[in-house]
Amino acid sequence: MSQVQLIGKEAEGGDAFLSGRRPLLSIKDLQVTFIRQRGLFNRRKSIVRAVQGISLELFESEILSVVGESGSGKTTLARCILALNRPDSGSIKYRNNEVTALKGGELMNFRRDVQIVYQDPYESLNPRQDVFTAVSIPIRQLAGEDSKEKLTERVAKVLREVGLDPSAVMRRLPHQLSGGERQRVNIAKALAPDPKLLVADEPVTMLDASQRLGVLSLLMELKEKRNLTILLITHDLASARIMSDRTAIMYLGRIVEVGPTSKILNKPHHPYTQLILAATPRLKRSSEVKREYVPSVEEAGRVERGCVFAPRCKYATSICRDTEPQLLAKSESSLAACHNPLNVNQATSE
Amino acid sequence: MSIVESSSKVTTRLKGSVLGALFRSRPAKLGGLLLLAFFIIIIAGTFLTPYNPYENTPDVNAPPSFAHPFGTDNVGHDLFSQVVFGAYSSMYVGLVSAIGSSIIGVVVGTLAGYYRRLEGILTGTGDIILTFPAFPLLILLGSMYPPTDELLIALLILVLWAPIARAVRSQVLSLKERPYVDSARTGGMKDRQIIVQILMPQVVSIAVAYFVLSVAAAVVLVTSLEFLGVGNPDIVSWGSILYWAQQFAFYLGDWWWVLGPGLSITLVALGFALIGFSIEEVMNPRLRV
Amino acid sequence: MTTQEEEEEEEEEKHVQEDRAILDLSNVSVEYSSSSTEKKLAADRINLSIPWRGYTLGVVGESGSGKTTLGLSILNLIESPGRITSGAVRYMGRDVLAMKAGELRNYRWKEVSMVFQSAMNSFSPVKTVGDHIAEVLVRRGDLNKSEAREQAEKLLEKVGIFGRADDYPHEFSGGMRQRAVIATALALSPKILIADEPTSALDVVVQEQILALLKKQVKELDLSLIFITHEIAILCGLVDNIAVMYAGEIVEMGPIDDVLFEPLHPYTEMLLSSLLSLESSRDTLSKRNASSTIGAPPARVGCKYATRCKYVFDRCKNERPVLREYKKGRMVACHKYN
Repeated sequence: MSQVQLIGKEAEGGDAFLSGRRPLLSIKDLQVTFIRQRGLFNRRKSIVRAVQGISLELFESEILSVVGESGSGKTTLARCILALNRPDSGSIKYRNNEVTALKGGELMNFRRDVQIVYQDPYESLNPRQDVFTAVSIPIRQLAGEDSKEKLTERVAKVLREVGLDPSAVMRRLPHQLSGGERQRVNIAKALAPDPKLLVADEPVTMLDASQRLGVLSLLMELKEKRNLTILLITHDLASARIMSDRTAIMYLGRIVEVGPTSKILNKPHHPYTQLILAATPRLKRSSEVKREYVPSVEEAGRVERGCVFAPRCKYATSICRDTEPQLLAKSESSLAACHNPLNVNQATSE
Repeated sequence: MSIVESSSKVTTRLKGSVLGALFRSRPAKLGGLLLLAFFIIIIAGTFLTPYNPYENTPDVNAPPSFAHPFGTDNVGHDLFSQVVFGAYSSMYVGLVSAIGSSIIGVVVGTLAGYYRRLEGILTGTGDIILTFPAFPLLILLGSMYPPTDELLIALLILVLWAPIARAVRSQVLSLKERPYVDSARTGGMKDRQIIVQILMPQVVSIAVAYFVLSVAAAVVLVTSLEFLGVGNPDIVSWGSILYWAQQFAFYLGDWWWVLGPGLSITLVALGFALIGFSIEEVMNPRLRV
Repeated sequence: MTTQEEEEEEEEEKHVQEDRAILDLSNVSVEYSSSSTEKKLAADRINLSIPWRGYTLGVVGESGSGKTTLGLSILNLIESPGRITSGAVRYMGRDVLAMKAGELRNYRWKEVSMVFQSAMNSFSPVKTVGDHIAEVLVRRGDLNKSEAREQAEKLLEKVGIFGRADDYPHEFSGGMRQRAVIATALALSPKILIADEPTSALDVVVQEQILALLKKQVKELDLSLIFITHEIAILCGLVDNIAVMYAGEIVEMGPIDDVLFEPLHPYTEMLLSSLLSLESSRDTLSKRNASSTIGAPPARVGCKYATRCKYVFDRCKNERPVLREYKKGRMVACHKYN
């Protein structure tokens, strides 16, 4: 069953939120391969399959989290969606326009509609540009606004939306702002051209733990006010839980599980999801914390056939090492790529 | 502020404190002093010297004296006047070559760094020029065409653009990967705008360092070429003085003949080189951040 | 063992028997001058002690709270433009800040060791990982080259890296490099290990590995761990005690379960309430005022937290609270508890 059909099915069960929408963004069989040079002095070339056959749909007004660790391909995926990288094969359709084929004016229109908040608040602002310049550039380039007064007005408006005082920060340079403030400027930059789809690439990872909730709240507030669709890329399940309607879990370039966030995080099907859940730090009393050693991705080694996760999986059986599992429905509304999925045959409540 | 935040403060002080740091650097101050001294002497000399550099005086083969600070040559030319007037020619060629090669170097380097497709051809050409022995090449080409200042300038530019292009290219390569370049792209900036508005200003600093060093190199190169006979020995320049000195001074025992040009080149080349190296030094720690 | 080493061991035993702290910081202040006029107090009269071996402490605070400075000052690693302006750091009774080069060599890495924040990126790309560790052993541990190389391999195995001592750093993943860094830090069996955000750039699963590794080492080596971080949740189940820092001061300290579940200081309260965790639900988002986390800067007179504190009263604005014991084992610097 395709994801659309699944969602539709759940809709019939009474979840009106996701009923009858067309996908805003539709990704099919995306493949991205990099050729990397290994070693300084030896010229061994290794092929890195960053994204392997990803298919995903994003619906209007929803927040979809893509969760994965480094090496999962999530950043490469984001870059392809933003037309910063070209995939080797596969298609990305935004409102039925093929993103990989966009040029010129159409590309500008696309960029006006689809924006990104970058991860690094320190590196994604040009150190020589003040806040006004940084935020006004997208408005000038993508919305075609030239008048100085109008620009100042629009910039001030969006700065206020992200909780910054325009008169205080407009003329500041990045190094005069704190990490949290810089990230808000990043959000302002992204919202300046009034986009419909916002990709947030690890928006709070580089902020202090105490600032994360504030910035995520801001994103949620903005999403509701502007009716945005958000693709949240993160490695932190806690962010995914409080923000997103649906979550997709990525591992080594593939989607291993996707479905409604609450289901995935409470009763995951895929052992990898369970692994990340267990590893996510929680505020607990000392006696309640258990620490287990699990082999890392490198220690697991490369896998020639079968499931990529098998070497690290507690539940792996011979079929896992033999045949690569497909992403199939394991319960009413979630898909998982696993031969021995967890939490199946249970009443899927919540 | 955290350590992270204060270190990024350093990066952005780039523009302002480059000059500041330069003023504090001792080598740069020394270099500046040398150039200033040179400048003063030349300007003063142009107005104060009573002799025309082409004028044959009866006072031939005279060692340095009050009347002739650098002495005279075998036909009585006042060598001091020759050095002063020759300075204009040598400096003109040196500066124009440096400017020309810097511009070409920056443009080629930026394009090679930004567009991966062009990289092959551009860096390949650059590499060929860098590995080819400059001097023999210049002499060969110089002797094939009529000797003019313009020829010399063209030759020097041919040789000097490559190191600049290489330095600029590597900086562009690393800058191109910075998130704010991606951010500019998703913000709607086109390639051309990104190159001109974002990358080039960052490249200016290293270009200036190389420019200054190129002046020093160019002055030495052009003088050497003229000394070897490339270029017109009848038009006075430091190289031409040395050319004639080579013909006659050793037979005649006129040891002072090379004094003028030698001193001048040392002052100028050393001056520019010191400043150039100081700029590079000031640039480097920031470049790494 | 040389006579000097014998002497030191004797002194240590005496020290322990007399029940004195193995590490003691008293009134340590560190100042950074970012220009001739701008001076910042990165650490303000810090009082801290590690009472016995195996005592683990987590140091928590936002960026700019002085937690990294604290770690560096223990090893006397504060460099210009920073300097220690007052206070004393004593290790086994010896004055660390007065140590000469030779003594410092025997102190750093041998008695107290540190894992820095970006340590995993500071490997030289031209040496193998095994060589890096061997070098430390040769230079500071008086082993010869081949002994050191053997020992390096054993140390890597202890942190779960088998047969890869001959690989170059870039062939290791981030997590593996960090484990190698830990192996290096523990190479000479120090008594205290300071870890400054060792897992900040790593994924959760790798982070788990590293934390589990550290826990194991603490147990096996009777190691005192000082773990500096801004993510409180990591410390659960890792350290027994926690110190909360704000604007260069320690504002609260005590057993971790007590501090996290019954916080005393208003800043600790605020910090805990602003945390994002798996337990948070959608409601946490809507209750929040999205711009409230940008707090006012610390006050210059009186209690530094007064500008953001919801319990503030007059005394807070004039008098600086001192860190003192409120209940058994719990210290707090707040006028509410006087």
